[in-house]
This record gives sequence, C-alpha cells and structure tokens, in this order.
Amino acid sequence: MDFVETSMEIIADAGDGKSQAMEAIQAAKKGDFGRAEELLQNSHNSIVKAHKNHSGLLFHDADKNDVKVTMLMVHAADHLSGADIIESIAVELVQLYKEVKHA
Amino acid sequence: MRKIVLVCENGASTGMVMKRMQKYADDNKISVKIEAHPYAELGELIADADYVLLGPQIGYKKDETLQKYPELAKKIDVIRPMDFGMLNGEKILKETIASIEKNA
Repeated sequence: MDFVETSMEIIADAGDGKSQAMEAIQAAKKGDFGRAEELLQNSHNSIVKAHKNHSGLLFHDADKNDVKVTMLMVHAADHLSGADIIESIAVELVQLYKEVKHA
Repeated sequence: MRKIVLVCENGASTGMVMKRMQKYADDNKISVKIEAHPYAELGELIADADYVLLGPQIGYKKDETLQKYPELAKKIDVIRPMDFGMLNGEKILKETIASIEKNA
C-alpha cells in the first residue's frame, strides 16, 4: 500500500465530496432542488470512497502494524472529517431551503 | 517564464501536486514555475499568473472567484479529483499548458 497515494486519494475524494456538498447548498439557495439532490448524492458517493480508503489504512495498520503516520495522513483525516460535517449540514440546509421556499 | 498558480484552502495538499508538476517540468526541460498558495492569497497572485488551478476541495468557489476576478475567465480550472489523488503532475501540467496555448 502506497501511503502517500492513499492519503492523496482521501484528500481528493473528501475534498470533491465537500465541494459538491457546498454546491448543493448553493443550488438549493437558487431553488434548483433537482440539482441540489443530485449534488448531495455525488457528494455522498465521493465521501464514501474516501472513507473506504481511510478504513483501508486502518485495517492495514491493524493487520501489519507498519503504518508510519505522516503529516499528510493527518491532513487527509482532517479533510475527511471536515467533509463529513459539511455533508451532514448540507443535507439539513437543502431541506431547510425546500421548506422555506415552499412555505 | 510561464507561471501556474495552484490554490486550495491552505496550500498544503496542492503543495504535493505542485512538487510533482514542477519535477516533471524540470525533468523535461519545460520552462514553467508552479506555485501553491492558500485561497486567501489569490487576489495578490493573479496579476502575473498565466493560469490558476483550484484544488478539488474548493471547486465550489470557481463561480464566486470568476465573479470577483473576471480577468480569470479562460485562465482557471478545477483539478480533477482523480488526477489530484494520483498526484498525476505530468497530466495536469500538460493539460494546463495546452489550455494556456489555446488562449494565446
């Protein structure tokens, strides 16, 4: 397992997931809820992909106990937890915009 | 010399991509300077940048960036998560140079 590559993939997928969650909020703000839902789904798929890589690192470490923790890895975990939070908030905000705009 | 500016939230992970791009350029004698910076500094950097690349994590900022800096139209792209994750400096550099030459 290439730890640099795995960390970068986590950053890329978590980052892409976060970015699409933010775009979903922007779409909902404009009233385009079809687009918002689509972006939320894409966001979720990217973040799930990042979690799979993240778990891969954890399982690898549990198995072989040879993972040398680097700043890049910590940074990747940071990106992933940030993306998780933004995704959860985006789901709520899209729902909130729906209720506000249809009230 | 051409200058390509990479930006993400704090310039950390794009720094990795920047190094791979610069290495490919140096190894292949391509005259280009690649820099990685935090998004907050973008305003000071665009004057002498030939192209700006946003990290995938701030792709959602492309529209507001263009509204704020209309001069970046045709000079800005979001790095694809796949290329970013694989640290594919060669592909990102070649595509960016192609875009710069298309605009020239």
